[in-house]
Amino acid sequence: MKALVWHGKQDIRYETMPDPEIEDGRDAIIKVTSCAICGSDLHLFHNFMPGMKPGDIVGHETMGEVVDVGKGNKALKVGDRIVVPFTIWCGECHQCKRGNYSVCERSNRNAKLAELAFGHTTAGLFGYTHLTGGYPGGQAEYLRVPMADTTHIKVPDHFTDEQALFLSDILPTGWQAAVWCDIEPEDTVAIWGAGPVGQMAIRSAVLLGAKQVIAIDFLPERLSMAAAAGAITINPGEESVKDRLNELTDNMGPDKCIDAVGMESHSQILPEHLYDRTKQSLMMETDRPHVLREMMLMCRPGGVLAVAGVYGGVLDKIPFGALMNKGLTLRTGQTHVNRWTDELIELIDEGALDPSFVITHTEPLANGPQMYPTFESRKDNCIKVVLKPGQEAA
Amino acid sequence: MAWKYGSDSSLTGSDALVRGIGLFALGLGVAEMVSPGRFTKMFGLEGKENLIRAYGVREIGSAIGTLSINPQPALWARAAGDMMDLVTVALGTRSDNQEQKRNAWIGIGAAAGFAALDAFAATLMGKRGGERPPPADYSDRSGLPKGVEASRGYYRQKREKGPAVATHDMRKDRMHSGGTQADSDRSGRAGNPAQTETDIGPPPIPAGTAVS
Ligand SMILES: NC(=O)c1ccc[n+]([C@@H]2O[C@H](COP(=O)([O-])OP(=O)(O)OC[C@H]3O[C@@H](n4cnc5c(N)ncnc54)[C@H](O)[C@@H]3O)[C@@H](O)[C@H]2O)c1
Ligand SMILES: [Zn+2]
Ligand SMILES: [Zn+2]
Repeated sequence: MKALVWHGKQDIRYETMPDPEIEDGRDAIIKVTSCAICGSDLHLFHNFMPGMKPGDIVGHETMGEVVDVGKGNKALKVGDRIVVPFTIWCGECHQCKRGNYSVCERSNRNAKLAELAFGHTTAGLFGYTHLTGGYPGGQAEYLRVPMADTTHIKVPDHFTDEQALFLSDILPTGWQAAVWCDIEPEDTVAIWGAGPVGQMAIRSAVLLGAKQVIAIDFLPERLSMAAAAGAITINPGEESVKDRLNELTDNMGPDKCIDAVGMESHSQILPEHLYDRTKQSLMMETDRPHVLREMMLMCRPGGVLAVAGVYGGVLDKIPFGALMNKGLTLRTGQTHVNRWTDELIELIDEGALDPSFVITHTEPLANGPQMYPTFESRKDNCIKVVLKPGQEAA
Repeated sequence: MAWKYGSDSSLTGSDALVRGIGLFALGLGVAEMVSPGRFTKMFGLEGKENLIRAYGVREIGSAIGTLSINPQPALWARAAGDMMDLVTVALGTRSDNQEQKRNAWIGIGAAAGFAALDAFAATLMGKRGGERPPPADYSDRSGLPKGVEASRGYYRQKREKGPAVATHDMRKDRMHSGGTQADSDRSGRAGNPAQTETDIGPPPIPAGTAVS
């Protein structure tokens, strides 16, 4: 089969790989009909996440049709149409029983590695470093889904791929971040990053009833998409985030803050940016935590910071004093995808939400190697790329 | 589109060129720092060893930038640095030593060539990932088919109206779910607000229509 394969920094190739096979009774194999490139894939593209090996198949936002099922898998049958959540979960361990699927204790086959890095293992993830199991990803013609009897989302037949695909990751990620905020009707929710995750967080905050939603990003086209859902926008390249936030909140600061940027944030403060960038290049700091710092300083005392953006390792110069003394609550995590599935399917089904709005580019899978730089450089007004294995490259 | 590294790689010929420049700069920078005397002798700049060492530091700095994921600023800085080199080696044309004089002229040519190459590579990097058209207007993409105002609090109202939620005190649920991650995780999903303190069991594994 053909797949997108990681070979190093900024080197993604469209290559022929062996077809996946059933390895365990709970497995299923799907023929991929649609998959997408995620902001998290950019961290791999930039080689900022440790634990990738040349030859790894990337991709973790995938859906398709079941073509083979393991003997022990009673939940799926050939022909089922499923979305694959990016977190692999067993359904049996202590964490899965509590709905904490992204920290499933059994799905990471490299648990020892993860324990070294994080103290404990976290769930296995598709196409995302050997720290999280090194499972082949879904930007491919076929995908083996381990623990597929739990690790799947059956979608109603009348949903299009475009409506269903993002149940795999960015939609529940934006939703989880907003839920983590415990939004109340009087709340102002400020969201850093108007990429696909930020866009989903904006819609989620609106549906959960925030009075005022503020979106912060440098890219005008992304801000226009944020404004489409009623968000007030701030462009840090043109105005002071601090001044604008204070102006919009009677100098109180936003009640809730969401980080939808993660480890590669840009800073307008040049010395800060150079400091983090240099340390990151020299591998003395793995992440550039500008947004985290800004949220801690801006958030109203007693507020909540929900971190959806991905971080990889050690961070520097965090104003922890502000976090502690202001009594802020910090909530994070890879998304417990399946935990939010039912309510999100309901919202789509009721016509209250249509996640396909975020797609700006649809291309054959074979064009993946060009679409990574297009998404990376934010050129061509690119916000979200969907790849179709079935389509012929032009 | 430029030629590709492999047959189907995201790395283009321009990326290869830039990596070449970065590695060359690294080598040159190290050489300038380790044996500046070779350069001063070659170009008739005796006594300016410390200047050459400083250039070495500059060269290494620009190499790190050139090899990073966003090489364009470093490439422009390199082009400017090349002009500094040009002016410096030009001093050697006043040397009485014919060989040094000749080297200085060669050096001028080389520095001008590198400046052009670095500027060219910088423009190539500007085109990376395609052209930048004017920002698109996506203000018709709300994703909220009922309209923004009708959607505000839609899910919240649904919870409040739903039969299971009718007697439920949301504040209690929220207080319960606030606190620590562990608490909130036990309180279950946002979509299951009917759970109260008496209901601190494992939340149901999503079942039914969505997941079987
Ligand atoms: N927690 C999870 O399970 C999960 C799931 C999916 C994605 N993510 C993470 O969420 C983050 C965002 O993903 P995405 O797909 O939207 O990526 P993206 O790269 O398209 O979006 C990031 C956006 O942040 C903006 N940005 C950069 N610096 C900023 C700053 N200082 N202030 C405001 N905005 C800034 C960028 O312009 C960009 O639009 C990534 O870190 C990704 O890894 C997490
Ligand atoms: Zn993702
Ligand atoms: Zn588990």
